[in-house]
Amino acid sequence: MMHIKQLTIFLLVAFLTLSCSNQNQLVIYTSVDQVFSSKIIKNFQQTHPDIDVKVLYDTEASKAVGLEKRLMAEKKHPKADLFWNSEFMRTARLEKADLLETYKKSKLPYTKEYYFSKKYKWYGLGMRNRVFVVNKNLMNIEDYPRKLEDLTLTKYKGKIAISLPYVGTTSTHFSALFQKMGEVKFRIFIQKLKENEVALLAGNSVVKSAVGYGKYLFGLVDSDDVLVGIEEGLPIAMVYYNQNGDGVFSIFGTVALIKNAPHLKNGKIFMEYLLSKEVENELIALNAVQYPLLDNRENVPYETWSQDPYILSESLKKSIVIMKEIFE
Amino acid sequence: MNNLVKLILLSVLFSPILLNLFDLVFVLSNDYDLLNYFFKSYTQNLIKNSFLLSTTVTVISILMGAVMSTIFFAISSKNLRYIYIMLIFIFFAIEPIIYLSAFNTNSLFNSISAFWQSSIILSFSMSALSGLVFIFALSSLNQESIKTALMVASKRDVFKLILKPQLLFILSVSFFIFFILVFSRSEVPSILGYRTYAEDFLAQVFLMDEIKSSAIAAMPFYLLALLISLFVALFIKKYHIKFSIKEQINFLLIDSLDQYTVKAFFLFLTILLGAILTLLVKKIDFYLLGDLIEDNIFIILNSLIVSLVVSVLTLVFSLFIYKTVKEFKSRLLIYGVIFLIFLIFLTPSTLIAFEIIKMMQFINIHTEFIEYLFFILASSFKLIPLAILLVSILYYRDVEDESLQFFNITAKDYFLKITIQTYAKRWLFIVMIISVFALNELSMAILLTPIGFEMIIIKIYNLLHYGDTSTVTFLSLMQIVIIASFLMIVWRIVDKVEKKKMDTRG
Repeated sequence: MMHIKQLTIFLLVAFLTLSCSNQNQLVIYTSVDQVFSSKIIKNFQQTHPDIDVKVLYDTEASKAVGLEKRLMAEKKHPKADLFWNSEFMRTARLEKADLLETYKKSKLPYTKEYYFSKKYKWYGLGMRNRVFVVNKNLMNIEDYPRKLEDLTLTKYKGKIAISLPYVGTTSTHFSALFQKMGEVKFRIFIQKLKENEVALLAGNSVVKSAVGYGKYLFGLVDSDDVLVGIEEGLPIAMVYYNQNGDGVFSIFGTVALIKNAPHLKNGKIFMEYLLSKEVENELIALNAVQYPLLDNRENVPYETWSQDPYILSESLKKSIVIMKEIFE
Repeated sequence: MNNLVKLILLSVLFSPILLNLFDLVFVLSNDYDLLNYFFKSYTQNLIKNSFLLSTTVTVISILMGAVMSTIFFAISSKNLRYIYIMLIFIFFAIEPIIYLSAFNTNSLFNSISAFWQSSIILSFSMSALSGLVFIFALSSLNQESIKTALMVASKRDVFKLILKPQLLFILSVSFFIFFILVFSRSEVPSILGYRTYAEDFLAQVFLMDEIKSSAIAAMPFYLLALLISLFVALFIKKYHIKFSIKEQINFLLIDSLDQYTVKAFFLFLTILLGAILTLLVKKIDFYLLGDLIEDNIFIILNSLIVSLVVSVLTLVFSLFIYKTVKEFKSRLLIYGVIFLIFLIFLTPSTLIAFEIIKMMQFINIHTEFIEYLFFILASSFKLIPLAILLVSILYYRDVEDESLQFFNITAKDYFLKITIQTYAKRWLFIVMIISVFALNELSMAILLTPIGFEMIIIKIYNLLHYGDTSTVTFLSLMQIVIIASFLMIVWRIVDKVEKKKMDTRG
């Protein structure tokens, strides 16, 4: 009996000790790569030592069912204060599910109206591009692919890789292509990719590595993946295609406060910190993103285009069904 | 404990999967059209791919496991047996994704198809697991009784009547374990470009606007669980009488193996592991070792402690379920529990995590203690089926009741003085296997990790994406070394206790 009493007292003490959490907390959910986001968060902690910051990181491997789904599941009683997402599609979906808090910021210098939520639910931060990654040892510079349609050229049959287009930034990109081309042309494009035996791999980083190791001549990935690969020492180069046309497709990061967040005040402080030119430039210096959204974009040396996240989230399912019908 | 209490406890234990089934019924009753997805040819192709890969890896693993276990029993030196077990354990504990990072630059490996690449990579750890399972399953059979049986019956009869059903049972349970483990894995085939249903499941859940709807994506897993359960039910019915034979015999095919063959295989295994480890170790930047240890040691230790707690808890739950179900009189109830066990095994961790979050939201107490409790319980819940199947293979004998009546000792004394000492090694084996799975469970870690707590698997995947193979390799090897060392120390202690007990008896 004595043992049971002692155990009960111990459990009660442990329960109470662990229950006394610090009220001046900030809980961040982020899908921005840990190597980058942890540095920004660490800098924030140095300027705000009174705030106890807790972070949950996502991984590329789980991006299909990662923190976005955790936020959805925690809807009734949210634990996160802020979601710092590496892209915009899932943030737009969270807005649609009424999970985000309205926060009207003073006017930010965005050049396009879809870089922030019309209802002030989220704001864009830093831009990445969808580019070609090319193996320098296997291709001469004059043979580099220059147009998106080069993915369908028969001379590259079985020598191209892309990330699985049903999840992640590739699904966003293809959803935008579906919007842009219309259903008929999109079907033809996907059919040609299928006939050209384009390999569908698990993620952009996998495509980058496969091209780097010489398994494929080139692939379609995010620009940050190519920069990481170059830093790793892989023999790869980044190609901005369609520069005589509409340019490469670009994806921007987003920041949003969570509705009914437990520490909303601290969430706002961190949001203000993130949405600054200094932090955005730091992200560029780290290679987490390539171009700013909060600065004037005259310095951007490449043609880029993007699409309204709301429109893309509507067309996502339809584009995926078409791709599955053709690819699988 | 009376049957009603046991049934209530079982229902509580199984509640996440029961809620998941409820979700499925709810979603389907509102929208039957969702089922159309499964009649599409691409879904069927993906399921076919998964079956093909799972069957191939399972067959390779069982064959390799049989060879490994045969060699083990042929090794005469006790010390060599320790080393052999450690070698196989290391083979098992290395994450398939780490094997992949060691092989993906090899031109020979890159010249074969994605199917065979996936099969080879997954077969490494699965074969090692198979080897470990067979070694422990065969070791747990009673060696003395075969000699007794052989005194009164021919070798052929002993094999046919006692050994064959046992081997069939071990093989079929092992088959299901490996098949399900491969069927529900998506990372390696996905990275290599081989499409499977496990991968598509995640893509489908990604598209679901409602968490509840995710249950529909797991339909093929549920159907497979039903099929396996039906098979097991028929199998148990057929072999029931033979399984109930209390005394078992050992498998003595080792006599035909000479020590040269044994040593040659041992050497081959050592060289193979050595080559793989060399490939991995070469990726580590040793001049950064100090920083790597300083930055990651607490994350590794925290993750190891959590996985150890999870695995011990899993074993306790599994023993409780196993014992309770064995006492059931109703065959229908037994089959029902078997179905639920396979259902949990096959249900993706993501869905289980969703149900656990829903429960946490329902009770609405948001303290760190509750977060840790649910995280540990959820991780444990997902691993219960694997532990139960391992317990069933390692033959947990119910002799307590009879002995208690004869010797008039309390259940507590019996448990401390006899049960623990008899089963310590087998339980330790299960704990070690489960702890490796707990450590490598990514979905649970992302969806349920208490805020502010970092699991090593999230860091590994994050760094892998960033291309930091040095840190990833270091972290993976470090955790394996810690687990393996722990295994060896506890093993030695158990051995010493056993020896002491034998000496006292002598």
